[in-house]
Amino acid sequence: VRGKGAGGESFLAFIGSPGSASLPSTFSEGLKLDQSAGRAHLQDVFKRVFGISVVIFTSLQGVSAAQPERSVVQIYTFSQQPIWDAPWRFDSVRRSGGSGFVIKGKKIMTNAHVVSWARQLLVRRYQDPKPYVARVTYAAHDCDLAIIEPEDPSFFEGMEPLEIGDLPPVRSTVITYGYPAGGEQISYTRGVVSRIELQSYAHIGNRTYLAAQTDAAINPGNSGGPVIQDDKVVGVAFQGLSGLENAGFFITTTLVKHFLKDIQDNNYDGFPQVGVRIVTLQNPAYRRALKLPDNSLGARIDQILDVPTTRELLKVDDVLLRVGPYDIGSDGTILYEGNRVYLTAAFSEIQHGEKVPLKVWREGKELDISLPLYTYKKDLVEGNQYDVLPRYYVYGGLVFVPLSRDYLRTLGAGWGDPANAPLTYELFYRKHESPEKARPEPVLLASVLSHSVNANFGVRARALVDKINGIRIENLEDVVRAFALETGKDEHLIEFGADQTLEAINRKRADAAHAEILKTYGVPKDRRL
Amino acid sequence: MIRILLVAAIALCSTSAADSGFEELWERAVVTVEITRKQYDYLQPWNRRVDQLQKIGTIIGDKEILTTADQMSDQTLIRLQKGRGRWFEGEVAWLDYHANLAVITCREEKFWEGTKKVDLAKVTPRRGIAQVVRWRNGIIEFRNVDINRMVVKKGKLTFVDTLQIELDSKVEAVGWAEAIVQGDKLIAIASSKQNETITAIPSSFILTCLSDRKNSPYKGLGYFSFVWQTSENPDTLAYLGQQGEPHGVVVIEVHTNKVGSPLRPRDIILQIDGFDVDVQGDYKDPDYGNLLLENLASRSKRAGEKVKIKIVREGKELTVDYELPKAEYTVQLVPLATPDREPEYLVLGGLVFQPLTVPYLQSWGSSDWNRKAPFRLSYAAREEATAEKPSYVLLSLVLPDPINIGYQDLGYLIVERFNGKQVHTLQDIILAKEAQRDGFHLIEFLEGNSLHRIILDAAETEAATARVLERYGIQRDNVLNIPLPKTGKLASD
Repeated sequence: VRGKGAGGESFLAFIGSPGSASLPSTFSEGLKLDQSAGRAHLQDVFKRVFGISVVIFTSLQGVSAAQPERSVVQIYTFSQQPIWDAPWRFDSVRRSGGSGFVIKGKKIMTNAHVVSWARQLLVRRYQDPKPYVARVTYAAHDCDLAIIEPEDPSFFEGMEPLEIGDLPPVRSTVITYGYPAGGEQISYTRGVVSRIELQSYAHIGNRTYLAAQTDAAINPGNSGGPVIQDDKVVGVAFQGLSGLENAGFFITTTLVKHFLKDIQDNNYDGFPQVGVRIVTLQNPAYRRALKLPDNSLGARIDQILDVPTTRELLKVDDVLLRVGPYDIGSDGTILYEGNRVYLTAAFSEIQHGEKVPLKVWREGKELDISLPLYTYKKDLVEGNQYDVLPRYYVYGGLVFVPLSRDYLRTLGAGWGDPANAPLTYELFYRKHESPEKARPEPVLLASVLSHSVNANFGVRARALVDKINGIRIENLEDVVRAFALETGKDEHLIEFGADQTLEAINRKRADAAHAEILKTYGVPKDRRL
Repeated sequence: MIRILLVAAIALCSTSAADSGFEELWERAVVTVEITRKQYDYLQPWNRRVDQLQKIGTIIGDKEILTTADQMSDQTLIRLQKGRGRWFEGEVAWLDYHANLAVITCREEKFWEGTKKVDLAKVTPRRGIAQVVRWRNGIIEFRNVDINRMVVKKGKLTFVDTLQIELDSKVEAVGWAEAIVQGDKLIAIASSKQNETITAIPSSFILTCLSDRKNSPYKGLGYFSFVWQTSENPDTLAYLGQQGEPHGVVVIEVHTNKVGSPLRPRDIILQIDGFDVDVQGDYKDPDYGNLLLENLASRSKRAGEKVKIKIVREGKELTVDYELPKAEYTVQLVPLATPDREPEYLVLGGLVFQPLTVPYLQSWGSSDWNRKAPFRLSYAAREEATAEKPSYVLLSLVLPDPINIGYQDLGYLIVERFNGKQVHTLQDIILAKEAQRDGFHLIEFLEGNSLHRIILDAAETEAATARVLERYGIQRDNVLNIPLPKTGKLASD
């Protein structure tokens, strides 16, 4: 398949989380609605997350006598993920290692992917064999950052917090500090800032933010470690790129600062989304049709998502001329601290609920719009989800779960199998193409816990549920409600979506067998809603 | 008893094979068919090349050679060879792609000298040993194969389930209409081979089609355009009101077709033309035992004819007349094949538009395109055609030119509207060009994960098209298989 698009193709290798099967970011990108200018086919994201990775690049300026390594910590994570198609069960405990660093306020910053699904966290100081138990206080899965705190405050004795710096210039040298695999001691690597651009963040899978690329090797265990220049943290190492030599990525401090500001109210909201697809505006005819001068300014709004305030204030074919202090090029980029990056980088400076000033060209006139931005939750299921146990409902041995990217991942390589295409379409395309038929939370029959009451039930797995007892299933709660409904029939009727299959189950027998099935299969509760 | 019968059958076959009369008959009845045909690159539809292949034909009547329709489309030359003699020019006398059958003839009397015609078995044997007969490099081959079973499944060139015969064999490179014979009877012609299983078109099916050939007009292959599910779950039948021992299958989807359908979702089908349907959807065929009910659409009936279907609807039994729709590629949203048609395309200011077809998708792999082609396009092949959505047109690629700056990377986008008019065919686009506003063409794509709309300079389009054709060495700006209506009225208006 021919790769396409102004956005460039990237194949992200993530370092760490197990079972991170890849979904094409085609799907995720669509939801981002941001920089996919004219992109017909988006990239496959390959993630290969090693536990944690820190990449350090020694700057030419060198490390000062401040000895930042004293503030870099090693993190051991014992994590356990749920099994998405048997959501009451957990995978085996997985041990992984990563890095972190001490920041102001007796906190340790690391990557969210280092600490997600943690059952226990242990941290170790520089050259100190003692492990300290720690806990996660904030995990920002969208930008892959987290704050953890050791239970014993004496952990911080003799440690200086590292200061957060600014965006390092391209070509400048940085050092990454961390505890990659291959040894127990701290490791330093030096590299140049190769470029600064928007990158797909593999941990969440469907968000794109600013990231810096460096030529230092990123290895398992490096994640969460600081990238340092002039004694200041200029980034957090987080992911690599499979198939590309000497390319590691670190989260820029723009995002780090946004995260720290966000949690000042003791609550993490996340990065707001504009909810528009902005595309290039370089065709002379299109520019003329919009009565725009033939210059290199302005990017066009091609599509608007169901974000009420955005729908109210912006229109399709509005041309964005300026966002905040940045002029927008006709290729959809802004000049951001000396780097040409997609304009969505400007939106990531805004906090949830804040307004961003926009200069917009509409019907031949310039308009000033103050657009409030909010976090967008409706596409959570299209990304990887963490730390919230999956929802499910079991009735008569039929296991119902919401459709999500996490569920698709359980199909392994088979997610791309044509047999699973209806699930893929429902999750990623339906709401765009036929919003009137889209459901807030599509539900599927994930599996059947075999028992004589359901032995003849013809559908056994991976089937989208359309109706139960005549009730259209919009979310998991509807399943519970529909089975409780008194229909006057001896059977419950389940109608499946993709091919209209009908299956019934005897109500009395299913009710009677319910407890026994749960017991047989070790399901502690029939639901998690 | 069974053992004795088997021994007898084997003995019979080996006697026949040893018989020189047997060999002589088939040497005279089986010929080599060489086909020269155009092949297209659907990703650059103006490109074509010419391919040549050889298959087998069997003389079954006066100046009539039976072969498969596979690879016969877009043929430019057919040649025939008896044994190792000279080549004669042949021509198609009759052909049905859905049935995967063709009859070829030869005008030169000389060709027919010394040939023999053979009969097709009225009932295709479903047990025992048969021989695959073919010419290879001027040498006749007789290879034993085991008849495995009769099965109803999709034919090689159709979306319709038809009767087929499966045979076990290690013989290589079978599937090119080789004669499968028992004694002096042709029992099937091979259509494909996967692993060690040969799939072949059985003689009884061929005879039904040949008999229809005498009709004017030819009726063609009929099929059931409804979808059913098995009734192995008694709870489902109980819900639908069936009493007693479960039997029949449940209709779950009724596809619209030209002749309409008396069936409704949730009807339970009990009998078709007097044959009881079991819970797995099989009926007991008097010749072949248990077969999928789909076979009752082509066992003895043809398109346009009626079958009687006994159903249970809302607890009551009734019998309906079901008129069999004709198998046609055009009923599909994404047609499985477009035989004997050059690939359609339209170049407009460097934008290339094409209908979405399976041959186009097969550019990503002839058998695994549904994994490899862009997801949205391969998903389209699963969708049903409707009156509002009979076919899809793509912006398939952009040939860069100053007029389309900013769009060069576009491709694989399903076109929804052109200048505000719905687009189902390339003709729709040509007619919609007239509806330009203020000197611009507005092209809108299916709302989804990618770009939704673009604008093109209408006044410049013609000059740009000429420039693009010249620069990229394309002879014509369009190939349309259905001419534009003379009224200039849009079909979708």
